[in-house]
Amino acid sequence: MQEEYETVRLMKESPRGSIRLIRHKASGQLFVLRQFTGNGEVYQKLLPYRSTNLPTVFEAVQEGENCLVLEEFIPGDTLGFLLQGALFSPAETKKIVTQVCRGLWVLHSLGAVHRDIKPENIILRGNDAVLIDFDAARIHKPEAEGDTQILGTAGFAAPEQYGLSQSDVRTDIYSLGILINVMLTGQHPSQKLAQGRLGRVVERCTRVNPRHRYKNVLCLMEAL
Amino acid sequence: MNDTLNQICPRCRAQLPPQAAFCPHCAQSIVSAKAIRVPSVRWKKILYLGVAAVALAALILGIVFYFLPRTYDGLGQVIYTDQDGTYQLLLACSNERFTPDAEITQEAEVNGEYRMPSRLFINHVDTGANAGQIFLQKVDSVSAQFLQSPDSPSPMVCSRPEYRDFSPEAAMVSLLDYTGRSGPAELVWTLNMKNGDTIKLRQKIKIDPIETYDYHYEDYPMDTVEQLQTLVDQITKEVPLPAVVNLHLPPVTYEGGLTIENRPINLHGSQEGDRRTTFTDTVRVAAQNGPILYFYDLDFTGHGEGIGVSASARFWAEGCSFTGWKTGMLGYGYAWVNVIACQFADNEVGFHFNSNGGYVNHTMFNDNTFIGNGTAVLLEQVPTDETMNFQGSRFSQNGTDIDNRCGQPLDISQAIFE
Repeated sequence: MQEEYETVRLMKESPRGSIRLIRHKASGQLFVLRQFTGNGEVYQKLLPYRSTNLPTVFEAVQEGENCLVLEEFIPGDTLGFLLQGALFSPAETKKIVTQVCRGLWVLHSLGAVHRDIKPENIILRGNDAVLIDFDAARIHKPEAEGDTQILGTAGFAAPEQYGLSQSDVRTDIYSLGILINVMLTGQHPSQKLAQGRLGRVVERCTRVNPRHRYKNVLCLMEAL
Repeated sequence: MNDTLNQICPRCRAQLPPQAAFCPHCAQSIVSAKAIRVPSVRWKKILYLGVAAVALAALILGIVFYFLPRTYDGLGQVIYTDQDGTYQLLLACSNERFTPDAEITQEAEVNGEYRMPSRLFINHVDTGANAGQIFLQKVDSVSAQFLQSPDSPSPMVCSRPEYRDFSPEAAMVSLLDYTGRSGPAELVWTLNMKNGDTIKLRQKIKIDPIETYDYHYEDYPMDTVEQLQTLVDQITKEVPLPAVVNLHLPPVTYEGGLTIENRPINLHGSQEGDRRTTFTDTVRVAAQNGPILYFYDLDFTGHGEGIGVSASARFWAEGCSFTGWKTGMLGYGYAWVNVIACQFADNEVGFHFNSNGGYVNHTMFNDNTFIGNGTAVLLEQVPTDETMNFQGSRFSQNGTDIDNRCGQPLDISQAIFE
């Protein structure tokens, strides 16, 4: 690979691994190469599937604790970047979050929980929102908790991710509620709750007891 | 990546590890990928909306149906339920509180005039209790009418429903008048409830004409009381009920008594010059079975003793005279008797009613003349508390006009007392 690919740039590096943008020299195609220690099961499960709202995983190899993942490069700005300059309207919010839900549904149907839904992990590619970075998915809870805190997204993590209860798909529902509120108000719902119907959706997404949240993303999509 | 190379890229023919999903040489995926479609939530929405719409429609219909006034219509009876319970409303001619008479066939002489009651009973279904008066508190108005062909030669008529003493268990009673020529008719009671509901109860009434046999004195021997009794006995044996028998008597005076029992035989008197059909001894009427027994245009003349006519069966005297008896006319036993357009003269007691039955023929005692009697009318016992109406009757020179010992309701507002 070193002969046929060249590194375009180092996108991210941490003690757990690195993310590089690489180019196939012959075709000029861009790919994202992830190297990290942990569980790459989610990437392997995604190999045979394609979704508009998830990056295509071309290869996923696990050797012991080391994972190597080659995935589609998604050009576009992250929601986190866009939120630095403006908020989203309710209609835009509903459209984007619904697309994120579509991507999440694929993950959830494979038995995975994303666990790190936040504006920085959503890229707007044209009219499509794409959910990226499944590194936190399927990682053991202590590590996920640490990783979430390290990434500085504690506000998006559900209470059960701090050990209050076992994580499941409703953990992602919680994060989606926070995401909706941030897209509409720029703030965490504990500081400023969105108004109107979407505010009630946020409120239901972020209930402390997971059983009181929407039970899956399809229900949330229906509410949206 | 695995170093064991035993898979070949289908595009660039490069050797790849067996588990490879991607050819790094030509940068192409070598696994067939499938697109995942998220289940549409639209159908669910439509389903929810549909179910909600149906539920809402059902709810609205339920509310509308619950609050809209309803009409109950039944032949013979109707079961009506409200917040207080379930009631059985029924029409009956007899005094059976739980048995509706939905279709009634009455035997009637062609020229006969009849009256019968249509009784409204109201029972509480759960307890069987008579709920008539309680239920009537929920009723705004009650009416009755006959539906019948306008071509009926003798249309049936019903009275306004009201409480009647003679049928205390019935909430209300309507009296039905008909003749043997009345065509079939449907009686409809309408109860308009205060809550807007309407209850319609129906009774179908059909008249079954019965045979009438007339025996004229010109054709049959009946000049003496013995001949007459023989003829009466023979007819009683030979003419079964419900046929009606009329004997048209000659204008003679019968010396001796006559007994009519086992079946009614009507007697019609006649007049020729000064001579009228007359009996000088007691005529006993004891025909317990069958219709009312009628006497028309007969004179009963005594000598200060005995009874002119004693009736222990349903009896009706019209145009007759009762003169010179200890008792001119006696009704006793369980019978209801009527005297209409009769004359009672010079009797110790003119008309004596001493019966305790439960049946009423007719309430009219009209157009009689009571003259010179010790007691014109003695009411010792009278079946039921129906008001006896003496409209047009004249009382003159009697010791006592009316001795009403049993306190019977009387209507003498149009009687004449001299």
